[in-house]
Amino acid sequence: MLIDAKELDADSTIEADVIIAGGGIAGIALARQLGDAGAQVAILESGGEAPETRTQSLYTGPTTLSGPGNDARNLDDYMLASRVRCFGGSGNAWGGKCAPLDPVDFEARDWIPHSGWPMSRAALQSFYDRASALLGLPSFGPTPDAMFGSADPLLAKRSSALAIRPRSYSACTGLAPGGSFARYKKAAADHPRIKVYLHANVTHIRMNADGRRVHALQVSELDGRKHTARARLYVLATGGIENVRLLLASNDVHRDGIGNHSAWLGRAFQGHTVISQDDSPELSLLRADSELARYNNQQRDTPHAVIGLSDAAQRRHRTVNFTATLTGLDKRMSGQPVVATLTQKLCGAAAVSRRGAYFMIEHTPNRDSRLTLLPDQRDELGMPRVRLDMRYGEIEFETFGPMIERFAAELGRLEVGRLRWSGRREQLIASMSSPSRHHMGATRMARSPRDGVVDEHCRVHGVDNLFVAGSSVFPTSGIANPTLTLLALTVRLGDHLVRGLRGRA
Amino acid sequence: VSTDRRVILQMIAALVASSGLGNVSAACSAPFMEGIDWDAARELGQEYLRAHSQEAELQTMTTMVNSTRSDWQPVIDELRAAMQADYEAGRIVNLSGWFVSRTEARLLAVTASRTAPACAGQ
Repeated sequence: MLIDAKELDADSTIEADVIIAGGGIAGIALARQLGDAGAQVAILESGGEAPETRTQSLYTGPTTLSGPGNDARNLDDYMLASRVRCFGGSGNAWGGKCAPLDPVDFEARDWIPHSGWPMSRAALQSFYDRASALLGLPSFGPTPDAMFGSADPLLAKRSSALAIRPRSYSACTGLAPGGSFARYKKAAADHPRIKVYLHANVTHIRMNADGRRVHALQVSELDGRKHTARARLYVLATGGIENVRLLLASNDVHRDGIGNHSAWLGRAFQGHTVISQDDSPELSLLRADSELARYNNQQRDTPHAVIGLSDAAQRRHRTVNFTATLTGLDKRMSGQPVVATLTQKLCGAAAVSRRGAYFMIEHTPNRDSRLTLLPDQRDELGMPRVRLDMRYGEIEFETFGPMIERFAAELGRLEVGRLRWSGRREQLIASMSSPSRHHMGATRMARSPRDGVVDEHCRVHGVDNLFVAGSSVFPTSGIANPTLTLLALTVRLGDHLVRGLRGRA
Repeated sequence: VSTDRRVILQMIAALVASSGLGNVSAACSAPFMEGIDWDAARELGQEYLRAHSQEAELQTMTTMVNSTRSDWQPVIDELRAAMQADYEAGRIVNLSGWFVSRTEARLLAVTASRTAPACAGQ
């Protein structure tokens, strides 16, 4: 049932078994799972059914993007433009691209500080499968070969250094035709045990005096009216920035913010940026266009192939994750790709397919990449605004150049193609696109409270009944688009909460 | 195991010499050079020459490319092996952004000192 908070009596009390703050793609999935299991669920959604300027402006805040040896960039529209604050959340503007993280992303890598998840990729496989089903996608297998089921045309010669990284596109987004995402939302709104409260902003988490349990949530409307929400269990699913903001701002019992026992809250923020610079990278493939047809999934305009450094190569060379994504022919590319033409004749390749490309590198967990509150700057609800200082670390920038060279050499050795890229280390930040809508890491998951904010079940360490859903719990972020992984973790969280509600956890 | 490029190029030179046909300047000789964009190749080749003009291998490569023979396949096979050996060993250079093997770079450099033959691409 959809309920507009404006229609509630002043100082109303909302009660449920589970209250979920945030009606985005994770909050909706979790509500449906819990509702199906018999729980009474309330979703508290800040926005309405469609974006509204006044609500969206609650997101405003400054952002900088920086890296060692590079000039910092101001991205002050990023906070506002990278999220959508209404029912369905950023799923309304999501491109639908899905991929699991790679097995190496879950591993503790001694050359990447603070890496390692409390679980392996294999342990998450069944949850990835369920998340894929939610999004109307076939399952991603545990390996690319298992997914494709046949030899890959780009890497027909086996390579221990390179790997194809499969990507699929879900139609369950607000941008795709067909109404799949509308049905996804409607399934929650029409659920007999789910109430979706619109224009219901969670502005404070009220703790018991001992700080070990959430007592209630404060709900505020833009017109100043306030309500109270009470439940057995509470889940924050307001996105990778707002989850942090709420926990930091609820500091009346935990003075540094809830879950900030080891000073990790808000830190290790990770985003995904695309490195392409104005003079776009180019990959001249020694392949015919027809050989790329398998990558033209979901009937998109152009083949979309992602080649990465293999897990083994990353371990061997102690690098961060890296991919090159092939796009369509860049219109700015003119003339003959002379290197590939020459090579084609020597290798006996049938054709040259000229492609644009972009690179992505893993943004590693960095304590200085962080969200902080701006106590002197308040939004219309009186909440402190938040600043994002997004920083890349030394290891990303140190390893990028050698990685590109190694990548190009392997493409050459395998007779896959020839790569062009003339970017320089000190221009990497300038070469990056605006970061994507991927907000990860700032309520990081760790078994020990010393190392993170939430435990392996996404429960805030030290708080019995408060959980976090979404990509803010990712300890590391790999390169894969995060929606599939955050949904897999949400499904896993749902199982855990159902056990808890039934008294078995 | 990577193959030493000097040995390969010496083999190529020997092949060329054994053909008994000698150098033919600016002729449409090496079939793998046919149809390439000569101006673009020359630009990249000159970039390589600016940094490596004294390489002994360049003369060997010039002799080989400028020769005429009836069967180029052994040369092509050797060049292909040399390219792969370069990539395997990390012997790559960056020419205007293109990551190429030393062997490819030298082939491009050869074009820099030639005029375009009649068979050159547009």
